[in-house]
Amino acid sequence: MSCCVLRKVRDFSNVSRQSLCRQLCTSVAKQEDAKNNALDCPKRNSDIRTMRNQMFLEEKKRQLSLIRRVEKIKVEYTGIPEDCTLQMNKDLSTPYNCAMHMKSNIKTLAALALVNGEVWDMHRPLESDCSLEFLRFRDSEPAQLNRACWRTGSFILGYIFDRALKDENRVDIIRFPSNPVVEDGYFCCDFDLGSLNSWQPLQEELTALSIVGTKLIKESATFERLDVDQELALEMFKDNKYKCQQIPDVAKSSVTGSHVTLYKVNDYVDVTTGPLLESTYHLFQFTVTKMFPMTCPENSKFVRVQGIAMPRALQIHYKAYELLTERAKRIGLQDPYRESVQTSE
Amino acid sequence: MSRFAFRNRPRKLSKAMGHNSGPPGRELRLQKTISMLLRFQRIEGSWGVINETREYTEALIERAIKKGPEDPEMMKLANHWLLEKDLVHMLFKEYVPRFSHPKYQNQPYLQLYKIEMQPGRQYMTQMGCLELKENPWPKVKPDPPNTEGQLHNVLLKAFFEDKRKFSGNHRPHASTKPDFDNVKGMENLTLNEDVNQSETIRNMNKDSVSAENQNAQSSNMDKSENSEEEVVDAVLLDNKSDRERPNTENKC
Repeated sequence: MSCCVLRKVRDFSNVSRQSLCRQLCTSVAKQEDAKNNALDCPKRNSDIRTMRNQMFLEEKKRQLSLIRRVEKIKVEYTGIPEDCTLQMNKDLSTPYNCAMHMKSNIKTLAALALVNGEVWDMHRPLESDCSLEFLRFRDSEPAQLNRACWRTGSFILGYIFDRALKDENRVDIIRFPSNPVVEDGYFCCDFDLGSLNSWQPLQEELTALSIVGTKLIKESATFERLDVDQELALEMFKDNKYKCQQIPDVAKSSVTGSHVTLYKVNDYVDVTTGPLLESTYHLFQFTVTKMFPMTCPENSKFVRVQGIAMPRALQIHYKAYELLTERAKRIGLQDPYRESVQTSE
Repeated sequence: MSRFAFRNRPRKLSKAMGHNSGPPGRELRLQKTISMLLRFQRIEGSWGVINETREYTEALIERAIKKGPEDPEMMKLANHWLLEKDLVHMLFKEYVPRFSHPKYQNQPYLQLYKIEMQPGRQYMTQMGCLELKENPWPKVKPDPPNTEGQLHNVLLKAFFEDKRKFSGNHRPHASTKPDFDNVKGMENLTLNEDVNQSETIRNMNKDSVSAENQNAQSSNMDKSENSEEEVVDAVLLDNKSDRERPNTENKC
């Protein structure tokens, strides 16, 4: 290797030959080492996370650069503090921006938006003339919002396990329900933890896991949403074999037929279909209640993690919350993998 | 147990119609407030007088429903407490039919509200607002917001349902009991009605019921009699299966 480098260098006669040789050789050696390391060792969680984050940011910048000309749309808002019509920017302004124009504190209360009767993320740009409403936890019929809250809880479980364990332990997120049942009393997420698949954590370890979630909630980080092509999503999730299987199906079921929606909180990216809450500010209590080691019909082992959360607007007595956490420790009656739970007792 | 809450001894209300008006003044005050209440269906006043009026009006309407307009003692009583004579007609023609509905058997006819004082004016007399139920006025208090669908209520309701289901003695929730409105045959239980009328209604009902029964019997005659027993057995089995559902579902 060094010989061929030297051959190239011969043309530069003015530079002192020895110093150049030394420099080039060291740099080449460094690159080779890095390549070898990448090939030999399995990828770490943090590397994958940063890679996905970077790709997400680049794609977002690219999509923003496509908008050349700002067009105006008319938004008709109904609700508190008063009904009004707003002039907003097409493909740029979001329901959250609409809420910023209003007098009351609806900006902090609204967790989801209804655009033309459809559930819409607070940070998703508006596309055409539309009617707008906001969903709050104190409303009389917040069923859609409850489901979004549960979905957010599952998303945060993925965030926790992505960074709480040591970097050597690869964590692959398999799936979480896109249409959860709130009456079950818990939200869940499936993981492939590799060697830790049969791990049965102590109560203290579960508390330590849920502290990671409460820290995220204290940051009040916003959920960013992005529609990307199927190919980009496949490239982004190439390390996760479960996601690679799911993404084509998800893309087929989407409206355009080839798009996948990604969500990002802090630097963690995941694929979900349904809308999430505006930010983690809307959650208050968060607990990881139980981990079940399970086996698929295909004899592959995975872990189901269950948790429970309460919104900030609906703070309940700690005793009632204890009852609910106790209930969240059991597995759902209608779960398809219920019979394959390895009973520990 | 009484149908409405009442005070054990009468209030004195010595200043009801001015200083030193005494028991006659008290009586006059109550006559006035009762007749005003029956005329306008909602009045406002100081707490003592209003609360006293409530007890007297409840008793008056209850007696009017029990005894009817043909009872001479009842008419004497109504003439005593109602200062204007058209109110007596109102009492027997409007309020007696309204409050003889079976849902008022265990409920008071009147609703009493406390009026909140302005901050800084708490030294003033406590005021109250009294109204007859089902009056045409707009509501004093707005309906409470519907919180059934909120997240914590959904979770807690599911929790208690589970607890009831897996506790062993499975019984339906108290809220599933039928209301008075839904009970069949209660419409015919009107008081102060001619006996003949009610008898004719009953007879008509009997006729219709018997005709239906005959039809049903003729259709059932073809089938075997054992089917009924089987149905009963199935119902019992259903109940048993509910009870036998083990507690293991709850434990994991």
